[in-house]
Amino acid sequence: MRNKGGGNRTNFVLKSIKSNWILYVMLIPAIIWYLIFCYAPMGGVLLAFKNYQYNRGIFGSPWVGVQHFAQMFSDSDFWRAVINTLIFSFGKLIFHFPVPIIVAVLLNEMRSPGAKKVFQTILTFPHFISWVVLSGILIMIFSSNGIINQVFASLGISQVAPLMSLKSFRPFIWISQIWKEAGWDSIIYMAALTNIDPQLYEAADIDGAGRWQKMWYVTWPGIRNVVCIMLILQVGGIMGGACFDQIFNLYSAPVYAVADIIDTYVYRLSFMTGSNFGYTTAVGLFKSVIGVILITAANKIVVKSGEEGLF
Amino acid sequence: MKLKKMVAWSLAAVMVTSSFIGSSAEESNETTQEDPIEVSVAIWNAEDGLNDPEDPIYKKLVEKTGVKLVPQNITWDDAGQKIQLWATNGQLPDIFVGDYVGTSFFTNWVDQGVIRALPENLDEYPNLKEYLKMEKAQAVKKDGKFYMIPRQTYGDITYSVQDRNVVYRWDLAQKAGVTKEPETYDEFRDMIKKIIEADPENKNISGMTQALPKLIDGFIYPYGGILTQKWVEKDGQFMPSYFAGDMQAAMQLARDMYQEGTIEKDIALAKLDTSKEKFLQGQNAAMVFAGSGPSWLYHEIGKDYEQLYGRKFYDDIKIAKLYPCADGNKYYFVDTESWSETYISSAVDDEKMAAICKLFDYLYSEEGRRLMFCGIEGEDYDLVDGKPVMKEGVVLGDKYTFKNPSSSIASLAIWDPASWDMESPSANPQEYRDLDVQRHQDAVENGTLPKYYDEVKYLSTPKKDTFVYETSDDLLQIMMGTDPVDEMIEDLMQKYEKKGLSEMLEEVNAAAKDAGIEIE
Repeated sequence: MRNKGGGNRTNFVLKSIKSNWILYVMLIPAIIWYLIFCYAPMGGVLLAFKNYQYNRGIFGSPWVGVQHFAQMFSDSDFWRAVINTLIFSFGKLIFHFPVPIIVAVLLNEMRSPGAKKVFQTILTFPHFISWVVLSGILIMIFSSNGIINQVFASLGISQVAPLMSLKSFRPFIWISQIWKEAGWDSIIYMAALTNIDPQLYEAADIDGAGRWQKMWYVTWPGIRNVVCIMLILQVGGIMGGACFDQIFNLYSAPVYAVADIIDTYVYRLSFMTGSNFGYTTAVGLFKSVIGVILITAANKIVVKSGEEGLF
Repeated sequence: MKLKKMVAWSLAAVMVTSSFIGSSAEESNETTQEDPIEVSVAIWNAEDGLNDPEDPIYKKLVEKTGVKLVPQNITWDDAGQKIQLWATNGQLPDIFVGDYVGTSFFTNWVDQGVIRALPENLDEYPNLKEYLKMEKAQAVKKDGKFYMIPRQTYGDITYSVQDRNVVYRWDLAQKAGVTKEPETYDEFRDMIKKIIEADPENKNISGMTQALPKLIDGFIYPYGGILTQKWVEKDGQFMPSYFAGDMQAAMQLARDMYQEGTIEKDIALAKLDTSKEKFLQGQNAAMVFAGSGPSWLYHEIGKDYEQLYGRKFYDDIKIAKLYPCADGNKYYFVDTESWSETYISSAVDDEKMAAICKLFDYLYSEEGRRLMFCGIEGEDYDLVDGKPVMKEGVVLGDKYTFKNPSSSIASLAIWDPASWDMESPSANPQEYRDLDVQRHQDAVENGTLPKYYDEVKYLSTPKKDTFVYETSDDLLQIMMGTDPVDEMIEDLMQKYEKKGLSEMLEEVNAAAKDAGIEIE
């Protein structure tokens, strides 16, 4: 019976492929991309257990067991980077994650289609500026001679240097990230909102529902599933949630204590300190393993709460 | 059947590929001795200097050496990363430059065959052989072999004072009521404070900035008698000057200056173009800069300043003298006579190695040096009493692609000696060059250079090669910190102890003893 069932499923899959073969062909480039850039490099994780030697390559370098992991766990800078990564990512989850949802709902509530488009364009535009360029602009704006300090000086307020202060660096990162990405991130929720049947709103109108009630009883249930999937992805990416490009271009030695994340730590070790690549690979592997654990846990929680999970 | 077909196709593919490989190998065998040998080179912005194969200087170089240089470009921003990546994936150019001596990179590259030593017998290359008698080249030899060629920056270590200079707006200081140029750190601070308070041009002027990250070390650390690049003797053992000097005094000075605003708030984020622009626009009262002495500023800021303000740059701007440090001596920043080196990839075969040696032998010859830094004889300069005298109006950087100021290709073997050798022709005006002389004289006549031991600095031991201390990061962290300076220094030292400072010192001192290096 089981074989028969299995055979039926195989037939169904083959039939599906045959009828949708164009879609499958379109999938091939993405699969190749993942194979080349995500799966093939996984062979490199071997390096986490080896002492890399230039002349012997990844596979020929000598094994050192878990030496790199022992070194890693005894390094205070590593733990500082882990903690900072978690703080940045949880901060992003708490402060950044709800903003695109709110933006999408607010844009959806706008009555004038023209104004909606204008606001959507303005909010999405910063996404297209790279962090390299944007960080330069932000540094200029907030520099001691920048416009912010010029205005403050004219008002008799003392200078501020948010990128130099241990207290203000993290909020600066979160706020600038929200400003840059909230509009872009809201697109997926906007798409989810368009899928809500307008009849539901009409029915709510007939029932005498106000705006808030429609938002709470029609809009929110309509996008909740997408929010859950985005939440799983966000939690899964917690170890990589802090944006390397952003922090690397905005941080400096005085704020390492609150700014140094795993990626910047690995970068400095690899290219400035000259640490063995085996060690830096071990750090990267640690980060990935924690990421897998988190995404699995988040998925389970979401599934258990009655929503659709990723797997 | 299918398997047979696949095997047949695979064999066919292999045969086709090998026939191509065979033909290219045959072609290369046909290369005549007269054809130039292609040597790939990575030096800062090499592309900018090598993008005209018909450039007269470059053509002459090819003609004289039989070497055709092929750029594998690096810039000041990405050089370190690119070279390390190339070293990892076997794509290093035949020759590349960088500052790797004394780091774990250098030791690993030698031990693991990433770089190749020069031939032991250099009799065929007398200029190169003579050049390699320099102290650094000898000190860094491994198993009696040269794994790098130092790229000479200065004639002797005292010229190294030109590597870190502070310029300040004397015109604004005068407008703020300062009548005497500062002679001490305190007077300097006082002057900057007065400029900021008066803000004579109403530009919300800030304190001192730096042209590049990490340059401020060169102004602050000497105050504590610390030569960040050197190893010295203290209490009967060799140690980095960083741990031997008066760190408390230096860090406290930095903290005080930062808190009073004489060092600008966002100095840690300084970038070359931004800092130059800000100083030019009168937004900073002072700036620490690197380069080859005050004359370096001519092309960087001076010309634009004179055009913008219509006044002589060095009438308005002064170079800070050496000031008495915490113990009364006038210490100053020193690096080495050659802060970077040339390396040769292990992928280079004997034939190419011979070509590279010939290239460097020529570059170290009188004729080669003149070609690189004076141009073409008769056209750009004349020899008068055996010395090159530049012709009126000749600016090599404007005339030849190979001498493009943004490219360092002409300085492949050594840096332009014009910054320290006044007999060497320069495109900078004499009044600017005079300031280089003054700066050097200040160091020679008034400066204090403690005894240092480069032979220990260049020693390679397992712990030393992996022990990293970040003088710049430490300075910025303590300078901008909020806890008391002495507590932060204590924490810092505990961190270094945890990283194995004592064990490293023990190991290095034992190695120095074995090597016969004695305290003088």
